[in-house]
Amino acid sequence: MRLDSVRELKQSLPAQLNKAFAVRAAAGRTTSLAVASAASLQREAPSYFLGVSARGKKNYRLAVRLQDRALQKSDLVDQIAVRAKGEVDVRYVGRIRARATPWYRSKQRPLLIGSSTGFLASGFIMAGTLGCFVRSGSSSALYILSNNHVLADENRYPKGGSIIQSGGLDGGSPTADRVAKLTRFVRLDPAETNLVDCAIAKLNSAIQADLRKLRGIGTLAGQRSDDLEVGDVVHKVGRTTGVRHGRVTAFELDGVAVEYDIGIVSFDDQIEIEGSGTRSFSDAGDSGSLIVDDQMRAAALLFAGGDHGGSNGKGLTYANPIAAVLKALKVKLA
Amino acid sequence: MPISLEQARAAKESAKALLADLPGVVGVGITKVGEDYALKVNLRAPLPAGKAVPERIGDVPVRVEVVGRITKRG
Repeated sequence: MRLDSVRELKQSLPAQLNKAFAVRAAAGRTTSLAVASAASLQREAPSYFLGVSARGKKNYRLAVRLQDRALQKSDLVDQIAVRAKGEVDVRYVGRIRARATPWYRSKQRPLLIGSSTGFLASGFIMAGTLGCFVRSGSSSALYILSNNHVLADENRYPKGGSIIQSGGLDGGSPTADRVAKLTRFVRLDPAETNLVDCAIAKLNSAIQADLRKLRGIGTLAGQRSDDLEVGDVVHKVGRTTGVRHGRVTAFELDGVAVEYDIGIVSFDDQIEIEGSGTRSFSDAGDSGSLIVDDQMRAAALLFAGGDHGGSNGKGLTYANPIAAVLKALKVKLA
Repeated sequence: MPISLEQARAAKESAKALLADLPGVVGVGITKVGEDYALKVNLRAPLPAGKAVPERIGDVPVRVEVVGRITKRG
């Protein structure tokens, strides 16, 4: 068939078919239109869509895509085939749904490590990752730990400013999804050597948290006491790439020059990680993820990365040693 | 005798001074090459012709990698 013939058929067919088949679909209906019966009627109605497919360069056919198996040997499809003079490409494709949002980009109550979070940005929306939960001094109050650039907008967010879960980029509501308030952060300073990109936000009293679960990895088992070494296997769960596994490629890395909105910020004593297999260890939005070692002990806080390098060519990820983060914020793991 | 962590740490300090004039160095750290501790020098882009990172600093091997731009992951 010529392309314009297929297009014309595609345009005119639905109206003709609807006339022929709507009557039958309605005929089975006996009672009034309650919500449930309306839904079941919808299921009974013919469910298909039309398009154009091609076999070779100029041989076009009418594409018929069925969302209901019962239609495969139906009068509807026969009628379509007749009108298209047999030049049809009929396939059952089933129901098509929008791809489900993964849990780490969704609202989580109790709050979960690895889920989407962030400050309330004005004029744009953002999301980073909830790293873990910490306590300050002898108080039992709980705080979210993540990066300065996730909770404090690179020094620019006011203390007491609201933190939402999920982050605005993931549909978190500026009112209903407030879970914490920015408490303190370590300043990022483009003019000095930095050690950490971190901040804490105090949980609102009504918000519950699952303190140790890293969904898809295991249960957090405290803090690693010795430094990470080259070759150590590590894991993280974060807002963008979910669970990823990796391997330490370098440590005590100085002069790590990281691009921020406020300029290039240089970090000393950082850890470098490559992803396992054919994947990267992280991507944009995974900032703030807690990195654990092979024994589920907290080892580092993810904050930066690039798209080049690593033995699989998928880029390298940079992280602050967790001991430096906890020390700088004067907090302990909850 | 494999290169020790202490030797690599000492070499890192001299490397930082040595590399200060090179463009696009975005990190100098410690890695391993076989049993030896070694230096890792990360570059944003390949060095221009005529510029190079030494293959060893003292006895300590140096591994150079082009890692591209490093950005916050937020």
